[in-house]
Amino acid sequence: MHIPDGLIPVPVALGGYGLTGLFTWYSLRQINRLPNPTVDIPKASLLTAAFFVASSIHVPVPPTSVHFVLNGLLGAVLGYYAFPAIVIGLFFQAVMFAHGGLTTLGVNAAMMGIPALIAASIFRLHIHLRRLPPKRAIAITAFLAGVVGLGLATLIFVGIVITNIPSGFNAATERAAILGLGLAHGPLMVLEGLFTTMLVLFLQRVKPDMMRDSIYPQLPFGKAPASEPRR
Amino acid sequence: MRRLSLKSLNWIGLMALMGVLLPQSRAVAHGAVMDYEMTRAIAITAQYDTGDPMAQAQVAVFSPDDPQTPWLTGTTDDEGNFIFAPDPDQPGFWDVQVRQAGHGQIVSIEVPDVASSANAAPDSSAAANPEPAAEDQAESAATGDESTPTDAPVAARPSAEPTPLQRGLMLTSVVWGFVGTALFFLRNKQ
Repeated sequence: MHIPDGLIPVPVALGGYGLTGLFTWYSLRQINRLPNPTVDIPKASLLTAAFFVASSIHVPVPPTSVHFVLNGLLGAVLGYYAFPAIVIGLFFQAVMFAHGGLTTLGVNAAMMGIPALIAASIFRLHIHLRRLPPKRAIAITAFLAGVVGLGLATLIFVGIVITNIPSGFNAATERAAILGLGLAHGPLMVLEGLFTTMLVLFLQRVKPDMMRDSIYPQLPFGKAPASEPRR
Repeated sequence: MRRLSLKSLNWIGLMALMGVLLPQSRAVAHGAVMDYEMTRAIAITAQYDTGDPMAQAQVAVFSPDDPQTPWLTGTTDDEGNFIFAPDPDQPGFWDVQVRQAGHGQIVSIEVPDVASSANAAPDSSAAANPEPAAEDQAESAATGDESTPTDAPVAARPSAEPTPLQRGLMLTSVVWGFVGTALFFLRNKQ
């Protein structure tokens, strides 16, 4: 899932850094606009640790094995904090375990971070699911956030590596191997969706003040801001 | 009758002895010709960080003279091994790229100049890294090549793998850093 050093051309790596810079700036600006930007740092820090460790946990999906990414979970629980959290987590993975790489840090962060922000928006939809009981609405949107976060990241990964197969390699073999790895992430998406649901429901039960609105943390959990149209 | 058979036995023995003693650079049988020469080879072992071998992964070897087009392509075996003999006339850094499903790595292996390798013995990468050097010696002993470690085949590994203990310690330290950050900001709040 992490793109290592030396396998993608320099322009793609630079483009990744550009996108990551843009999204980091945007996320930090949104965080800085909060009344108390530091209040969610403990939560973000702990989930960065979880993200860092997750890539070491391998799930065997025959014939290959995949590892947890948890970017959808970070998006659902952290909102805008998810992007800087993923950048930091990936940096430590690259430096400590050579998982990913420093030249590809930008590409990897964009690949996992942008889907995390999309997952945050998906999770917020539970506010608008007024017909369902709140708990069920939260469970459904959390599951979708986990699935879509990893699913989009996998699609981006497959897209990037499949379009950048060097000329020296047998493209058909490599393409088949990449698609096989992409398909192996299907079961993992379901697992991460379930895990996100469990964590969100657990946090909501035992520590509801930790589950503030992930995009507007100043709002009480489950309440739409006054400016947003209610359905 | 008995003497004759002894004599023919001697002839056979002599021919067999000649076959062993004469330099065998060629084996000719039914029109097939086989040549061999001793050469220096580079053995690559490619693994995922789980320790699983990168079986049937694609390999591209780039020579120092042309780092753009592959000098050689191939695939690893089921144990992730790949062996090739670099062109001794092209000393310098040979890049070996192993790739499978968008994962992989590049290693740069220095092939010393044959003429200056005797002088550059302590600087060679094989001598600088004790563990691969020991493996080189084992390999050269296995092939019957009684040469100095610098002349032995260069074995390269994708990276020095940390032991499980080191890995666990690295994980714990980083996680503790994050937990400490969390605790620090929690303390500020109260």
